[in-house]
Amino acid sequence: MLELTINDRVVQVPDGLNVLQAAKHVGVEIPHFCYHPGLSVAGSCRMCQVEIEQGGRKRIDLSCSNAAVDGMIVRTNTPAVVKAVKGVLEFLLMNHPIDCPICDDAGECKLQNYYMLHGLYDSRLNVEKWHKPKVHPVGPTVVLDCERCVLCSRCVRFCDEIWGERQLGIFGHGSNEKLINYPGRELDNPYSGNVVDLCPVGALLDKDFRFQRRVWYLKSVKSICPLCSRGCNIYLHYDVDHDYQRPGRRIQRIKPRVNPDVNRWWICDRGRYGYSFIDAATRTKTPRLLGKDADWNYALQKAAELITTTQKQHGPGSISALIAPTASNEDAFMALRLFRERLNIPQISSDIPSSEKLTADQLLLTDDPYSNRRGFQDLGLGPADGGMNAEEIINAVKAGQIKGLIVVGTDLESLVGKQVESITGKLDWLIVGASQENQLWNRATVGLPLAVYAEYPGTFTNVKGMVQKFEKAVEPLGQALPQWQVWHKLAGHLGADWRFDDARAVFKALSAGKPDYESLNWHATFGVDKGCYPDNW
Amino acid sequence: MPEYKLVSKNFDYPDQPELQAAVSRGAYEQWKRVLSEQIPPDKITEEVKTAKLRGQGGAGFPAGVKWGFVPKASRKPKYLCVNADEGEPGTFKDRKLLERDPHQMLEGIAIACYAVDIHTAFIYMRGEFYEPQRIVQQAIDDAVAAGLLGKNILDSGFDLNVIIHMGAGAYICGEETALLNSLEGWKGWPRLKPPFPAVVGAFRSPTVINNVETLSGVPHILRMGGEAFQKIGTEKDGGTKLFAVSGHVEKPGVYELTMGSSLKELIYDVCGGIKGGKKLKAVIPGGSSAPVLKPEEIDVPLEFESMAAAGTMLGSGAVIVMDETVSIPQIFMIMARFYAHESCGQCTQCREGCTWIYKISQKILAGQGKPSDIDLMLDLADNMNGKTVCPLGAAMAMPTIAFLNKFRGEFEGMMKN
Amino acid sequence: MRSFSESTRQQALAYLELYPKKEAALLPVLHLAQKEFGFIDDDAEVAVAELMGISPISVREVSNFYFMYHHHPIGKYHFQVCHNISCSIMGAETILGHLKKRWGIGNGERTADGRFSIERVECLACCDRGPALLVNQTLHTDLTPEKIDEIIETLR
Repeated sequence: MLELTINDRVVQVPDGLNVLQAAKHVGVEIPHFCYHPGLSVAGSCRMCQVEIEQGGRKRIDLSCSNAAVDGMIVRTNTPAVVKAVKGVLEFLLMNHPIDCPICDDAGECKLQNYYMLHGLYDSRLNVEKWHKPKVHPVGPTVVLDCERCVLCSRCVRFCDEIWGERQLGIFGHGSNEKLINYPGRELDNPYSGNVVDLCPVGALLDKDFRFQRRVWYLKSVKSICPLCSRGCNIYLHYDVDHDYQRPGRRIQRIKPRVNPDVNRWWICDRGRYGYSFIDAATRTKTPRLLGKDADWNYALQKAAELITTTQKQHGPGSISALIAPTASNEDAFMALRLFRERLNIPQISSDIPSSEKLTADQLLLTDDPYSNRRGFQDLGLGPADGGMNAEEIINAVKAGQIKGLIVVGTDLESLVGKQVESITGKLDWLIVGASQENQLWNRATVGLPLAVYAEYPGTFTNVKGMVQKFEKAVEPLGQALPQWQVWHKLAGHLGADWRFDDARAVFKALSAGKPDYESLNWHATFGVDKGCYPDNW
Repeated sequence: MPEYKLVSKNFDYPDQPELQAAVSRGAYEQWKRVLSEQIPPDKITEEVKTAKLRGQGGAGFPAGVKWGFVPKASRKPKYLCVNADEGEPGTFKDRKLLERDPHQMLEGIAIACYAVDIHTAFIYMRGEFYEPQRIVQQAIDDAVAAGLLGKNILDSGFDLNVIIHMGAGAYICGEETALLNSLEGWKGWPRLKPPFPAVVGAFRSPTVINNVETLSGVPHILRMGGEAFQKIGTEKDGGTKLFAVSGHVEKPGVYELTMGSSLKELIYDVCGGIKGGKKLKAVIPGGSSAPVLKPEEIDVPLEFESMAAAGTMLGSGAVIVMDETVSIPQIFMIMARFYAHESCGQCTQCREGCTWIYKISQKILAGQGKPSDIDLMLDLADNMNGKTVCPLGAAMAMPTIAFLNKFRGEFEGMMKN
Repeated sequence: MRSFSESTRQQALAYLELYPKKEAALLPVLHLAQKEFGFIDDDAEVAVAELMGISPISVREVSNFYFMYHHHPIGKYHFQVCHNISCSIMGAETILGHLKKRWGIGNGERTADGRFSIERVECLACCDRGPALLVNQTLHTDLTPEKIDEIIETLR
């Protein structure tokens, strides 16, 4: 720790911070464009000027490029600093089109915010503005407006330093220079969307979000990306009240949430743009019985009867369950409690080959598309937990040894291809839990519509064994329910009297005796924020 | 007369660029002595410090002190970069040194490299210097052939590779960290300091960057001794300085003066006064970045501190003399056009401010200026001054403030009321 | 696609060896490319990038930053007239006006026959002999309209 004075307040901050970070640490926001803690220091926007006093000598200098030093006196509000900062703002606005009413970044634009805080002057501009390319498709996911760009070079540094390939450059010289891609070569790296988060203004925008929603109508919850085993921390930005545009799209966008131990400030495009399944038309919304809609009670009653009858006739080993490790720890826990502990089903496997093959990259993406393989393993539902693997279970089905099969979160295409009859023909019944209609759904004896991660709280355990919580953003579609609740209810139909009021109670039960799990503070990540995300540096 | 020919003493011999001729006039004598007497490198640096040799590129930083900043223990290779990117408007002294006495500079380079234990020197020369490049390259080739540069120099075991690196037209590359970026094959964007080049310079290695004129003085320090060299000049500015005088004087050209001679003497005694006997209107005393002086302000000693006290700067020693026929708003527009053209585009205030002021200066010349434009430009200049990575923002701001304040009436006279 | 002649290619590769890291040779290699192709267009940038094993973005950032790299064809004789302070007060605009009148072209333009082009440039560091200009690599000083005409007569 070191001690310094910021705006006449003596404060203590950790070692190793620059002045800008130190000030932020104690709640003093210093305006800045080019500085970002995840990138090298450029020191070019000159917005973060402060007065620094050391050894009795005062100077106006950058807060981003000066380390916080013991005994330093920092002032962010002297008349000279205010004038300098205002001066930078005026220069940045000189060639800016000031088209906030049609700019998606309005509401979370640094230029706009700082003008409200530090500007508020009448324009002195008495010469014509530069004109530069607008609506330039800089890559498959991002659109560029060169006139709005403040040339902070954050996006350039992201491509160079984080992804490791130059895809954007600042070309030219002096005030007519512009940021753009090389002709014929696009900003197409698999992390391209991060430049939109980094862009402090509305120069780089998501094509996916363009003209969709004013950001102040968005709400935000903390979540975990479910699309690979990395468990990147994200925000889900969603709509509640304003569904007059693009009806059905509740999740408007995904933004990275800072976690220094997992994803730092970044997420991949696969995770960022891969949320359409949440509001897809193929979502399962109603329980099904023999191909027809049913209500939950009736469907679950029927499922309970099927299970009981088969077990009576053929013994516990005549039933098997295949559960994809995309479900939460709470889901897995409740499945195990019901199928293994209560029903003594010997063969339960989560070892289902993924139909999607991923290749790990140097940054975040892993080669495992399942979000919770590690959690399943920790709870005793991993491939190493004895018994048959998924392929062996399927072979047992084909050999007529298994009469009833419960399949959750997979369409089994990776095991049986499109030849569903090769197993359904051998089974007395098939119970399918799914959030999307798939090749099994319409052939299921009982179909159970499941909620997706955005629709209920829970936890995933990532590839490194970190237990991370995700929050509920929106209500489950139709009558869909979280998977753990389905098993909880089914257990009731099978005569159990379990009382798990909510996901937290389930988590408490599953984490008993597991220090990595017990240490998670369930409430710490709780909360709904306004759309403008607080990690926006 | 305050003229004192030291680095310029052989300018008038047309054969001076040739090795034989230069050697006959004493070239490489000190370099040979350094090697044969095995003078300790630290002693050379000390002599240069004693000599009070200051950087002659414009900033005036003591050269010996700069050499002393290079960490001795560094395991990385070290580099010398010779700043031959002469581009400050009004400055043409380095061109003369390169064209007329290249071996003097090469000897200075060799001694400096020996003092700091450097084995690769890059001469960063502005791209437009075709003739100087040809002459210096020939001089290097001749010196290498004679065993004065290159591998195992004069059987001493000391190696020195001297490489000319041509720029490609960008004033900013005269700024030493922009020069380094340009040398490394990038845009000439100045770097944040610290770290200073002496510690992290070219190719992330310790680097000394000296101007052509600075290095050309080094052999003379060894010849005369540091103390004698210093005594030619003033207490803080040792030796001599080349002044490049252009504009409305009878005899424009490069003149070598002892430090501390007066600007008035230079214009009236050395350069023969104002051309055609016209009246003096203004003098830019140290390259276009130096605030302009009015006739009544020119009786000032030409040394770094006195010029600063007079509200201007010695800079690169480029004196531009303007007679009564000159339109100051026109000169101001030309200056603003230059900085708007040359701003590298990195820092906000310089990138936008230079262009803004330039556009206003054009409006004023077109008769479309307003009286409020003057205060606006003064305020914009204040918002640029000293607030950018490198001094280019200030180099635009300082003369802007001086022109507008000292010749306000002339600007106002061009405005519609 | 543009490609370097073998001799230029060898020279460029030799430049790469001159520096502690090959990227440093970009300015000299671009000078070579301009000599070979006449100007630096997208294809030339890509050719340089491929030869040096660097990104075309890096090449373009540099080729667009330095004013001596041209992106359009210039005349066989490229007149680079200094218009900075010292040359201006000695008559640079007169020289520019004379060239414009003689050829009917302005700054950044080329005569229809491709022989001449004009570019305004900043200080050439020969202020004592202004007005000054470079014709390709040759410096001419103390210019007057008459002297300009003499120079042009010698250019065939």
